[in-house]
Amino acid sequence: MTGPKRMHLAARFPGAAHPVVRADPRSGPQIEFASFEHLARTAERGLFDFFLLAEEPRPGGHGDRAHDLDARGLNRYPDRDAVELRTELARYLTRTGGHPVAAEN
Amino acid sequence: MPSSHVPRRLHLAAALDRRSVYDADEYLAAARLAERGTLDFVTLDDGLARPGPDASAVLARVAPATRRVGLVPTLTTTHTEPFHVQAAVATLDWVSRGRAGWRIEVSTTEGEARLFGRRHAAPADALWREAGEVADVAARLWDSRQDGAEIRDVTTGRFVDRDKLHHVDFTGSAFSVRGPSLVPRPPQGHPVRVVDATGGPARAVAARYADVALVRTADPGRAAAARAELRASAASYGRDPDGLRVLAALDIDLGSGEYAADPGHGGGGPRPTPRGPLYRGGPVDLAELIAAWHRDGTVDGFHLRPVEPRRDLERLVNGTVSLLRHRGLFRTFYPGGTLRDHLGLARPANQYAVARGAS
Repeated sequence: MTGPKRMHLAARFPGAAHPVVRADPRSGPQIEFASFEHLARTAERGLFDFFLLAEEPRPGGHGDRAHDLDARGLNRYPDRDAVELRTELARYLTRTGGHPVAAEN
Repeated sequence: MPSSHVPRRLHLAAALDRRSVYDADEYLAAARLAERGTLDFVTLDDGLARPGPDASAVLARVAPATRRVGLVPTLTTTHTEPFHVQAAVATLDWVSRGRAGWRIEVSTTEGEARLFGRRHAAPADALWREAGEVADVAARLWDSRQDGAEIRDVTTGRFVDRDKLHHVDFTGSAFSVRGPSLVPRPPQGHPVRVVDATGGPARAVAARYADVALVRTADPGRAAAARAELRASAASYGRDPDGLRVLAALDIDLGSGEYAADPGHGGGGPRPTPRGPLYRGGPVDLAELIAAWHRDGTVDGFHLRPVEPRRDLERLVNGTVSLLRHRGLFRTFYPGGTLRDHLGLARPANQYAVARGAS
C-alpha cells in the first residue's frame, strides 16, 4: 500500500417513497429538469464521483385497481426516461467540470 | 383551397442531420441557428441501419440549451418497445417544456431485423400497420396519467389520485400494452407526431394520426394533390382536417448562388433526383419558391434538408428566412412557447377525461 484508500461518493435522486419528498413542500417537482440539474450540480460541487438517476418501472396495484396509499404502489413517483435525463446532465457536467462526461458515466 | 380570407401561416422546418458527427455540440449550434430563424422545428433522423448517436438523446441535450424551437427526433416503431418509445418522447416534451415531436418511422430491412434477432423483416404494409398502432397507443399512454394526477396530499399520504390513472389495455397485431404510463402527461398533452406520408402505407397512418405530414415531391401539383388527399382522408377518420399540417420535403443545395443555377433549378423549381426532390440555387430563389407554393395553397410549409449542413442552414436562415420575414410571410419572433403553438395546433383533450365527463 502506498497511500490511503481513495473514497468514492455518489448521490442518488430520491424516489417518491422518500419521506422528505412526500412531506416537505420545499421538495421540488420530480418531473422538472431543474430538479435533476440542481441535485447534480450540488453533487458536483461536492466532487462526487457520479449522480444516479434510477427508474422505477413497476407500478403496483391489486387486480385492476391501483394503490393510492401504498408508497410502493402506483403512487410512487412517475418514472423519467433516465437515459435522456442523464444525457442532459452529462452536458452540464462536461461544461462545468472541464472533463467530458457521457450518459454512461 | 384556403377556407378563409386570413392568409394561412407559413411553417418552416429543417433537418439537422450530419454524417459521422458524434459530438452533440454541432447539433446544438445548428439548432440554435434554426431558432434564430424562428423555424417551427428541427428534425434529427435516426434508424437502425446506420451508426450514429441516438436522436432523442441528442435532442434531450439540445432542449435546455434552446428556448423555443421544436425538437423532432425520429424513433422507429419496428423492433422497439412502444411503451419505451412513448416514454422517451414524453420525457423530451418535459425536458423541453412542450417542444417535442416524434417522427414515426419503420425499419424495413433484413439487416436491421438481424441486429435485434427477434423476427424477420416484414413488408412495408405490415410495418406501417404496426406503426399506426404504436402512434395510437402512444397517445393513449400520454393520456393515461391525467393532468393533475399528482396531488401530494400530505394529510392522507396520497401521492397520486388513482382515479386519474388509467389502464390503456391495448391489444394490437404485434404487441399489447396495459399501462398506465410512468411519465406524467406531457406539457403539450400529445407531443407532435410527424409522418413522411410520401408512400402509400405511410400516408394512411399520417391521415389518421399525424399532426404534421411530410410529402417528398418536386412537383407542386402532386404536393397539392397529396395535401388534399390527406385532409380528405383525415376527415374520413373523424378528424378536423385543419388539425393536420402538410409540409413539402425538399433537399436544398444553396451552394451555387443565385445566377449559377442550372435551367430548371433556381426559380424554375426543384427537380426529382434518385435521393428525392432537390432544390439547387440561391436563397433568394428559394424564398420565391416557398412564397409561390404557399400563396397557391399548395402546402402549409416546408421541411428542408440541407445537402451541405454547415453551409446551407446558415444560408437558409440568413438569406431565405430574412427575405420571407421582410415580405411579411414568416414570423419574426415566436408568439408561443410550445411546438403546438408554432404549428397553430390546439392542446388535445384527454380521451380518458372526456370519456368520464371529468376535467
